Amino acid sequence: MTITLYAKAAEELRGNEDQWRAYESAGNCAVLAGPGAGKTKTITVKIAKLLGEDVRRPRRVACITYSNACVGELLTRFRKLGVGEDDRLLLSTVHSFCLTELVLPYGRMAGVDLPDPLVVASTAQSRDAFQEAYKRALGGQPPKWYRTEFDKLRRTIVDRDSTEWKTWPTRETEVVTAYDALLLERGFIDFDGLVLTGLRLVENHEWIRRAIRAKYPIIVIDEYQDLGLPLHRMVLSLMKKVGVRIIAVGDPDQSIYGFTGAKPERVPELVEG
Amino acid sequence: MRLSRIIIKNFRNFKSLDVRLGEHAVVLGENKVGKTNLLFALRLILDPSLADSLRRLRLDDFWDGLPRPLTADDAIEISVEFRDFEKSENLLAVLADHLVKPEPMVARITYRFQPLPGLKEAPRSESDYEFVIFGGDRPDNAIGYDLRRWMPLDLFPALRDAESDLARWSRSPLRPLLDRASRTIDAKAMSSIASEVHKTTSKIADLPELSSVVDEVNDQLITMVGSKHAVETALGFVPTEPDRLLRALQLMIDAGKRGVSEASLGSANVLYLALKQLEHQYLVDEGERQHTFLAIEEPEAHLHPHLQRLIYRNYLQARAEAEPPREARSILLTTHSPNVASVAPLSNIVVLRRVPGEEHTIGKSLRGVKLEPEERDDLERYIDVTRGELFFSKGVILVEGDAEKFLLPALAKLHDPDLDFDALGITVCSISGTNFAPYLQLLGPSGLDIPFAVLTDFDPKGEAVSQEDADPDDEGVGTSYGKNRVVNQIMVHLINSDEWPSLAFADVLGRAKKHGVFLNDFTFEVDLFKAGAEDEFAEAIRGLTTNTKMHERFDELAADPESIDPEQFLKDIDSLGKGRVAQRLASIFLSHGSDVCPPYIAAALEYMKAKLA
Repeated sequence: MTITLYAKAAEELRGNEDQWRAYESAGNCAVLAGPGAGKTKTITVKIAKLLGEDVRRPRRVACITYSNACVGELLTRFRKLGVGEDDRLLLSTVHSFCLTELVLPYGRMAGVDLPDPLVVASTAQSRDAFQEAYKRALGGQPPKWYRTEFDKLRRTIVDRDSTEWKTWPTRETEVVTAYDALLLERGFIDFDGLVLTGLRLVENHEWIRRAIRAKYPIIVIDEYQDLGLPLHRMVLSLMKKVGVRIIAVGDPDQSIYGFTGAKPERVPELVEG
Repeated sequence: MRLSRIIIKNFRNFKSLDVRLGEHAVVLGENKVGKTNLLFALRLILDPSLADSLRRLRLDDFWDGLPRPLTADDAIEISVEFRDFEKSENLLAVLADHLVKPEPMVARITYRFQPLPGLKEAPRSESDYEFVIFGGDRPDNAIGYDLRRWMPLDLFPALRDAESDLARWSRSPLRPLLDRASRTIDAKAMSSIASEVHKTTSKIADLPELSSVVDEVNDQLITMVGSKHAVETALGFVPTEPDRLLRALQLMIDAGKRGVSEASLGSANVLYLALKQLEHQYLVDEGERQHTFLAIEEPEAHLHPHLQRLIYRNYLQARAEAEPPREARSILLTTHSPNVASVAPLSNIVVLRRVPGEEHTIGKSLRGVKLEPEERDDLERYIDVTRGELFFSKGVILVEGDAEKFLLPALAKLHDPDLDFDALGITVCSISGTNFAPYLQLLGPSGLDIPFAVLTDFDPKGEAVSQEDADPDDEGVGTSYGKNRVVNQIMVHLINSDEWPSLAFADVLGRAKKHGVFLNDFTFEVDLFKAGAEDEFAEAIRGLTTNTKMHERFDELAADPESIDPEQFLKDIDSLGKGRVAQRLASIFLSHGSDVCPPYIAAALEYMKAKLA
């Protein structure tokens, strides 16, 4: 029997007990380690193994990461393992996952108010809408620090029906509401909007969770610490409610995108699942 | 999974077809109505063996009635919908991106042959067109080979050659089965068998008489093309390499005495279907595909009627309606065989019919017709016994019993020479004393939408003869005869349910004729007698019985028709059998050329004639 490329690469993981355990894991799995601990290597070899042994067409594995740069990095490694062009692997940023796997196929069917055609707003378009929303809600120009606070609020309190949202200072919530309305009016959705919509679709609809599970019985998430509360909730919902197998890799001490509303301490929550 | 709906626009015979399907589909229709085109439409989306060059349609493929030149808005569009797939994770994985409805899930795939986007002028030639196949409602959600691979349509065409397919290894449905079996054969054992075969074969070939034949052939080859180009030949039965040896295996019939090529066409077809069934199951077991749509054109070809009924009854076996289909296979039959049609569960029937004067074909299916289980059973039995005659009818006259069924064609022809039921495709359907309601569902606009008339008795069989009119205010009572029956068991199915509550009994009754429902004054035989058939009745009775008392009674009636006592009259006829009397009367009418059509029947015939005009 020929030794597969990933089996050969896996030999290098054998020496490290944690890496080996992650490689051999058969269920949900969270890998927590600092920089330089070989997380990316572990995860790519693990995915190659999943493709080689666990996943049968027409079902697939989704590998979600934060940015296009991360996608490029992972792709290079997958090519070396001989699975770079495997169509059973969806390698995607969180935004493009939400767009192509959730918002586009299911948004309208689930009754979400979406612009038609759906256009993702550029940074400039988003900034413009933000300033206009601020003006409409509060008048005048937003102070420089306001955008960060605004993004954080929008990402952390996802449910607009929740007490938390309702009791939050209306000065702040009103800007978010105005922004969402304005964006829709102008025919846009923004990056955060994609993830928030994706989350609502997954949390509110059993049939969407089942569709995702059918297509992606295994979802691997890289750079988990950077992906924020909405994705975290989406992952929990898929894992706990329909049993999607989750493999997450993150650095508990490092969140370069710390301001995005990501909380590193969430990673361990997964392990219990 | 099942194919639940087909929508076709502007393709060949179809201007606008929209038909819903049950678990399987038995597509019925006359020649040239578009059965093969319907299958081709499905192949465009689902057949992986169809070349993409054939998916590029031609301008000729646009429906002929579409005004030429074609405009930029004209496109051929074919959509298919699927349901009952969500329980299978694999099928859901294939179809999840193409949903159009979430609960229960419905997926849709659309093929479109359309002018290239961004054309500056109206499209002029085929090069101005492209085809796209997409899932869901999203034209940018392109679909390619993958979907066709997972849930292919496998066509068994009308001009099939089951025999040669069985004989050719590459096309034989036996191949995957043998391949699977051979995986576990011990290689050593196989190669020793191969060498045994080789040894035995060589013994024959080495017979001097035979080896000289081979030498002769080889010499001739060398003479023709020289030793450089000549291939060296030898005699043998089978290749002797172990792998090839298996491929040389053939199915034999008659206990191994004859090859399949000597089987009758019928047996070859049966064998082929049986092997296909195994092959499909095998491919699903192996994860090669998730579902097969097996399309069989003219499934009746080469099969004896009994065999047709036997095979397809089994294929189309009805499962409990509530239970979703389990089998990883759906059958699509296109046929004009009454034998196949008559064994199909009603919900699988699809009738293709040309719209008169409009030169296009529409489809009507019985999926979604609401019937009680007993009604469904009754209808299926009736259709089975009558060989599916109703499905092929252009018009139907529903009658109470066999007497009308026997007599109506004769009465009609004698009344109006244009009314030749066979030539017009009119069927007389006897409900044999059951309820008209299920037949009305079947024939009505939500069913097959076939023009129909109803002939019903004021006094149904077995009731007391002298039936004075019931209380005219007697509304809505479920008694089962006379006007009540017309209103509460027939008209209730024919009048729009929104309008129904606002209508009084008399209003409804007044509309009966407009809806093709005709009521007589007594009962069929009595009305017929009163229409002037007294002499014919007397003659018929004379021929059917030696009971002289009865002869006398009918002779007296012939002399004085006014003296009829309906009770005694019907008792006599019943004692001989209504059907027998009716058959005898029919031949008497025809031989005398008697036009004795009771007015309510004449009215129904007029109605039917107008409907078919």
